[in-house]
Amino acid sequence: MLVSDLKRASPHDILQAWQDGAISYREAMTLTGCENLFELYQACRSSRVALRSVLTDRELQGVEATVSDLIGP
Amino acid sequence: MNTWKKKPVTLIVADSGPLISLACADELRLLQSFGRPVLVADVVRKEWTRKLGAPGEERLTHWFDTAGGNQFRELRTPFLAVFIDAIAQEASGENPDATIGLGDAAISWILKNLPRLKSVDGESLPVGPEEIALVLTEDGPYGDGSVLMQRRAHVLSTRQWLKTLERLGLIPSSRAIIDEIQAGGRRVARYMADRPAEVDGGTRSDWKDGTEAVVAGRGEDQTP
Repeated sequence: MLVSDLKRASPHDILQAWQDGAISYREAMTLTGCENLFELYQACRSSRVALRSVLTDRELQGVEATVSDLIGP
Repeated sequence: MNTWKKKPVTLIVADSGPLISLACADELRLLQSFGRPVLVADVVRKEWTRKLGAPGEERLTHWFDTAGGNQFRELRTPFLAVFIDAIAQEASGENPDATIGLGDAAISWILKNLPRLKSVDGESLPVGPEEIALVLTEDGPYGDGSVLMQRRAHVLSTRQWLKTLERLGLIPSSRAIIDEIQAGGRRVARYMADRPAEVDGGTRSDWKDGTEAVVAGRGEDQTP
């Protein structure tokens, strides 16, 4: 999904798209006006958007890139 | 991805917080962007007129006596007499917190009694049991608690509403309005919510269609 598709979406649908992995947290913050990740999670909670517990592939790649130096061969 | 069907909300129940905030920024006209009637509990109206000199009070009173009166209806609830008594208790010092929670209770009562609503003049309002109300609030998560229990009400916070109006092109900047409200002496809560009502298993409420119709109508008005 493109961010431009969500320009006219409701806040609830934007939060849902973020939790579906369709947009990044930064894109969700820009669209909803949330100032940080904590506010984004709070908005999900207040908007009854279920939080996923499994990382998306993109998030997993980000974590792997971040910790690769810390893990031995 | 959202797969549920959307059912439009049919009326807006405004809490005192958003009304006072909009009055501070002189943006009460934005309530008309819902394209739906706005209902206000008698207690909520009393809440903003009890403190002389409170931010936005004069603008609110003027607006509802003039332009806003076309869209706004004041609802009779059983809480007004209790609220007036509570104001007296606060004024005398007997109980400094006597009015706390009464505005929320009035809104909760309205949501439970949609088919039986009456204006303060005693006129019955045509609100069917299947209609869906949207509660515009900035009082959360605690004030939102009484509404949270009722899954048939859509809840929208002032911040998320203004941000959506910005994305739809109805206002240039939600941040500028919030700054204006704060310059008027009022702090807008960080609370952010856009929680659809759960009408049934596959259907949830949506408030944005009315606003999009207003946006489309405005575009047509501007067409040469």
